[in-house]
Amino acid sequence: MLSSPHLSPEQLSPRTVLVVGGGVAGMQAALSLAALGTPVLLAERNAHLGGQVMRLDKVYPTDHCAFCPTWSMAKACYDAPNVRVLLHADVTGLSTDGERAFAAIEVRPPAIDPSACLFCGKCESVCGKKALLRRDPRMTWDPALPPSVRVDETRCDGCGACVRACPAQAIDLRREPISLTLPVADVVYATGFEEPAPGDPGYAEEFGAHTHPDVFTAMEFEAWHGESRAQDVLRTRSDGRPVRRVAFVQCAGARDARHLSYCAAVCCMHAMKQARWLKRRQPELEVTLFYTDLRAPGAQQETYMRAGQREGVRLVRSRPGLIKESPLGGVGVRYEDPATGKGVGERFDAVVVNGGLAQCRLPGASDETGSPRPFARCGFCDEPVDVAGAAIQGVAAAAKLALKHHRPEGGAA
Amino acid sequence: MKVCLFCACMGTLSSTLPEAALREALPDVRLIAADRLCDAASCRKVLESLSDPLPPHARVVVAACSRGARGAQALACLKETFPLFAVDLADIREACAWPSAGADQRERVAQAAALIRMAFARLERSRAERVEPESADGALVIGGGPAGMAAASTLAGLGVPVTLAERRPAPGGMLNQLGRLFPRMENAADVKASLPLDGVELLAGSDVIAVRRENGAWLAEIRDAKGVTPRRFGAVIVAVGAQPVLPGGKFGSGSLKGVISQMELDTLLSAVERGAKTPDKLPSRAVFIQCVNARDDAAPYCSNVCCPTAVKNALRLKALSPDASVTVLNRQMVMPGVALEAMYRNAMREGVRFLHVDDMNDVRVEGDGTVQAVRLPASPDGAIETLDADCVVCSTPLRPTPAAARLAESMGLRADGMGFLLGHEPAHPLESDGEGTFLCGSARWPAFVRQAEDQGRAAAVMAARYLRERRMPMDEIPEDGPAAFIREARCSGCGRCVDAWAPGACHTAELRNSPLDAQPRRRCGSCAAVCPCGAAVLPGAPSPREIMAALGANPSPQRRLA
Repeated sequence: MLSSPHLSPEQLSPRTVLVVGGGVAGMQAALSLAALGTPVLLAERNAHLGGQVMRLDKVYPTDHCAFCPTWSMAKACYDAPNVRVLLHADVTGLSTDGERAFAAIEVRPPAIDPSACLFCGKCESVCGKKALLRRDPRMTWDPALPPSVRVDETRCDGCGACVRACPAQAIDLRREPISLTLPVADVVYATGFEEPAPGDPGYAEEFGAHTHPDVFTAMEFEAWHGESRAQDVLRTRSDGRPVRRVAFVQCAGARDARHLSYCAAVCCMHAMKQARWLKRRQPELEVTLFYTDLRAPGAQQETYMRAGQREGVRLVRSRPGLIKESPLGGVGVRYEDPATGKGVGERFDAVVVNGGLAQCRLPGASDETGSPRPFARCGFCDEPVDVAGAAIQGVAAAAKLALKHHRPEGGAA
Repeated sequence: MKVCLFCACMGTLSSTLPEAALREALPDVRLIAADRLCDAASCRKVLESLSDPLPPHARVVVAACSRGARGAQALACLKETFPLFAVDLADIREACAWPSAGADQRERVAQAAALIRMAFARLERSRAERVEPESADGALVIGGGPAGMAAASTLAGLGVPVTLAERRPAPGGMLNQLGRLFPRMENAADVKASLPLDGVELLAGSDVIAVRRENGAWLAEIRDAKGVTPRRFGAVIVAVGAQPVLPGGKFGSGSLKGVISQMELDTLLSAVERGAKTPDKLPSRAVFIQCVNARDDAAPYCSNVCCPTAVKNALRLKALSPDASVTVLNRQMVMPGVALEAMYRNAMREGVRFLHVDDMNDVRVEGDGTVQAVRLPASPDGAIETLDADCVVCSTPLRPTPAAARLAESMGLRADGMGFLLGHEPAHPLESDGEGTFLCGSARWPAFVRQAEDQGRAAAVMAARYLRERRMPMDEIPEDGPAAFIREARCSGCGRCVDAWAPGACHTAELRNSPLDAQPRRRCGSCAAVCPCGAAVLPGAPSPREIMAALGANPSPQRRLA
C-alpha cells in the first residue's frame, strides 16, 4: 500500500525490513518478504515504482514490452497489505544500536498530494504557464499510482491559481521536505544503476555523450526510438535530417581504469536489441556496432546476437577512441580497423554510446569506521545483472533474510 | 438489499451526474452520496455516519472512479466489513462522466445507472471462490546440485516439508567435482557445507522418472534400488543441472597425450592443492582453447561458465607453478560484471596471455603421440605464430541432461532449441509453464555456483509462496457445485478448452463427463471463453443475455434484477 510521507515509527512493526530502491530487484525482494510474512518498507526515490526498467521500451531476449511485467509487479506492491511504499524518499543514512537499524529518510513530497489529487484536470486549465503535467515528461506513460497531476517546477511561477482551482485542496506549492528516522529490523539494498552524467567519475567526455544532440546514451536512445514515440522515419535531433547511419559504441568509458573499471554486463545485449529494433522498423538503415568483447552469455542470448547479424547489423571489433562532431556534418567516429590495424574515421547520423552503468551508492552500507554492515544487497548495485537476474536476486535476498530471521541463533544460513 | 455508495468526487462528479437524477434512475437501489470516498478513512466515516446501518447481507456497489485511480481504496475499505463477493465497483467517472461530458444529461445519467446496474448484476452472479485444500503439501526438489541443495535448504528453513531427490549416491553435484569456485576462489566443499540439509528428506540414489499432474497435485515416480515409488507433491522444483560436453576428438583429444578437458585440469589442480599430487605433474606450457564445440551451428549458445572457469584455472596454475606459461585462445572473453572483470584483469597482471582468434577451426594442435605445439591462424600481415605447448586444455560447454528432456515431456514444460528449460523471461525467469513448478540452476542455462544458489533460494521462496497461497481459504461461503462443466449435447469434442487451460490441469476424459473439473477449481473461465459451441459453461458468470438484462436492454429486464 502507498504510505503517507508522514510516517511515524509507531506505525511500523518492529519486524519491518527496509528495502532501498523500488526497481525490479527491490520490488521482488519486497513482495517475497511480504509473502513470507515480513512487513516491508519500500523506499523509492522517484514518483513511481519500477526503476530503470520502466524507462525501457523492450526487453531482451524475448523482445517483449518492458512495461507490463514491471507494472504488474509495481501494482502488486501497491496492493500488498504489508508492503508500505514510500515514494519520493531518499535514504540518506543508517545508524544502528546493534539490534536494530535506524534509517534516516528524507521525503520530498510533491506539490500536488497524490493521495488527494482527483486527476480532474481543473488545475491544468487555469495554469497560464503550462506548468501542470499529466505525466512525467521522461516517460512515455506515467506509471505513478494513484495517477496525479504534477508541477513542473522549472515553469511554475507560484501564482497559486491552481491552488484555488483544486476542488480537493491537494495543491500546496510550498511543501517542505520531511526528515524521518525510522527503526527497522534489517535492510536490503536494491539501489540499481545510473548512467554516468558529466561530472561523475564514470563519465568519459571523449565520447561526447550529453554534449552533442546526435550522440545518445543508451537510455536516451531507448526513449527516442521506442515504440510509443514511433516516428515513421528517424530524424536527427540536431537538424531533423533523416537518419541513415547509426553507430553503437560499446565500452565507451566502461572496462576502462580511468572511468568504470568493470563490465556492466547488459550493454552488449541492450545495444543489439536497439540495433535489431532499428532494423526491424527501418530495414534500410545502416547499423554498426563497435564492440570490445561481445558478451552474450546464455542460451537465448547467443541466438539473439546471431539473428541480429543475419538481419544486417554490422559488427566491428574495435574500440573507438574519439567521437565528435564532424566538420562535414554528422558525428565522426575514429577507430582502428581490426583487419588492417590502421586508424579510420566514419561519419554517422546518430551515435549511441554505451558508457557503462554506474552502480548506485548504498547509503549507510558501511559504518563510521568504514567497515561494511551485514546488510543484504540484490540487483545491479550488488553485481551487474539484467532484468531476469535482478528478479532472481531480489527473491534470493528475501530468502536469505527470511532464513536469518527464522533462525536467529546458530543458523548456518 | 442493493446499496450504492455514490462518490461526488468533491463536486466534480455530482456536477455532471446529479444525485437526484441518479436516484430517480435507480429506484430499487439505496443510494448513499458522499463527498469523497478516495481513501479508507473517508469511506469508513461515511459508513459510520449512517443513521440506518447497512445489513450484513447487503450487496454494495461503489459508484466512483476507476479501480486504477481511487476505486480500489474504497473497495478495500468495504471489504473489511462485507465479504469479497458482495462489493463491486462501477466506474462512472472515466467510463461515463468524462467521455460523455458533452452529451445530454439524461443520456449521461442513464449510462451511469446502467453501469451501476451492471455492477449489481455481476454481484448477483458472483460467489465466493474457494481454493481447495490440497492433500499434498510438500515440495519435491529434483536434483541435488548447488541449486537443488540451496532450494531444499531454504524450503526446510521456511518450514515447508521438502524432499530432495538426487540421482547419485550423495548430493553436491558440481560441488563434488570442482575444487575452487570463481570469482572468490572459495573451496567447493565449504560452499557445500554452507547448504545444510537439516529437515530435508533426502532420497539419494533416486531417479525421478516422470512427474504427472494428477488430481490437483504432482505425482512423481521415484525409482531407487528397491523399485519405483509414486509420491504426491504440491510443488516441484526442477534443478537437474547440466553436463559437460566432451571435446569429441577435436584438437587431438583422445589421440594426443596432453590434450585434456577443462574439467580434467580442474581435478588435477584440486589434487595438487590438496597435496595428493606433486606440482611437477602440472603442465608448464599450457594452451587453453575456448569455445570447443560451443557457439557453432550445432550448439549455438555461449555456455556462460567456460571463460570464468578458464581464467580461474589459469590463475590456480600460475599460483601453483609461477613459471608455467598459460595462453588462452578465445573468440571473446565473456567476463561480465565487477568481480569477473577484476579476475580477468588480475590474470593479465599475473602473466596469463589472452589471444583473440576469430575462428577456432583454424587452430592446429601438432604433436606426435604427445602435444608439442599449437599453430595459430595467420595474422592480417601474414605472420604465423606457433606456441610451444605440453598441454592443451579444451573448454567445452555444458549441455542439458537427459533428465531435463524427460521431465519437460512428462510435466509439460517448455524447452528451447538446445533443450534448456524455459521460464517466463525476463520478469519471472524461474516460473515455468507447469502449475507450481519452478526452475533453477543449469537446467535453465549454465549457471555459476553462486548464481545457481541464488536461483535455488529464489525458486524455494516461490514454491513456498505457491503452497501457502494455494491453500489460503478466501471466504467461508460454501459453494459446492462444479467449477465448470460441459453440456455434452453441444460439445463437438474439438479440445480447444483443454488447450486453453493450464497444462496438466485438466484432461479430455474429464471434460467429456460433467463435472469437468475434479482438479483445483480455478474458475478461470478460459474454457468457456474459447468454446465455439457454447458447450463449456462456467456457472456464476453472467451470460450475455443476463448482462443485457442487467443493462435494461432486454424487453423483460425484471428477470433477475428487479
